[in-house]
Amino acid sequence: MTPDSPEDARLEALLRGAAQPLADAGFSRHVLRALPPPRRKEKPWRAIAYLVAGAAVAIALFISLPPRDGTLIDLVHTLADPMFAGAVMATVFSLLVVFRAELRARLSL
Amino acid sequence: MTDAELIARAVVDDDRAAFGTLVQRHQSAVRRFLRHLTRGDAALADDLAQETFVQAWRGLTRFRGEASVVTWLFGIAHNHWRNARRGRRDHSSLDDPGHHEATIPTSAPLSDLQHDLSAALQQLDVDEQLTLHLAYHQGLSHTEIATLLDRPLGTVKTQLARSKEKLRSLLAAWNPQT
Repeated sequence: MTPDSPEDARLEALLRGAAQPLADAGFSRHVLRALPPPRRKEKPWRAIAYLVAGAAVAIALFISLPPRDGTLIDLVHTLADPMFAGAVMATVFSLLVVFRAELRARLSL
Repeated sequence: MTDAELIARAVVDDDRAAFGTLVQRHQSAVRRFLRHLTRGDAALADDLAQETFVQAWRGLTRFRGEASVVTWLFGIAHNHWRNARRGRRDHSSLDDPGHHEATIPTSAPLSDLQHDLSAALQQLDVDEQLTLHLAYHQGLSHTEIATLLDRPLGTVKTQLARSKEKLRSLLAAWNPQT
């Protein structure tokens, strides 16, 4: 008996015919009730406010850095300055706040 | 609306109605798959199916469209079933051979031939039954079955051919005129 024989086709039809669809009978409704609560919609103006505030703090901290002459050792001094660290942290913090929902979804928190 | 469009709406707009449509569309396949895995335990299968869809909702952003939605859901369902089986192995077994039923839903009126087929299917080993279920009851391609069960494609093809041969022999022995 070859795989394409009439017996084979009949058996496959019989196997396929044994599959009966299941009625929903409220199953989908139960699933929707079991979903986690809807996520809070972030208001766009709030995200813009966080970004502007973060950028303002970062710029203010950068401006407060003492003037440097551009040499490599001077760059190291700039990087080590607490004001520079503060400016970077303000930037990172404001970005984290603005994009926290996306981060949470990506990390499945 | 396609599955991909429904998923996009659910992800972007937190649209539960779109996800509800997706659940309605695939609930039968997922519940039948789990009923097969749980040997006809409808209550357990439905609990696992609910967990499957909740997990799918949480992981919608990870759906890349490389497989069909139903294959992706089967993957989640299969993991849930394996975890449930591991958790219950010491208590009541999901592999209990005495609990063997409903490869075909018991509510369906069975012809003699279907009855023979159901009995013949139960003579096959669990893996062979699962492969046949996915291929013929669920309509998955050989590639989809191989991906879902993490087996080489050649193994799936060989197993299907061997299982059908066994079924043919059993049915011919029981009912020579068919």
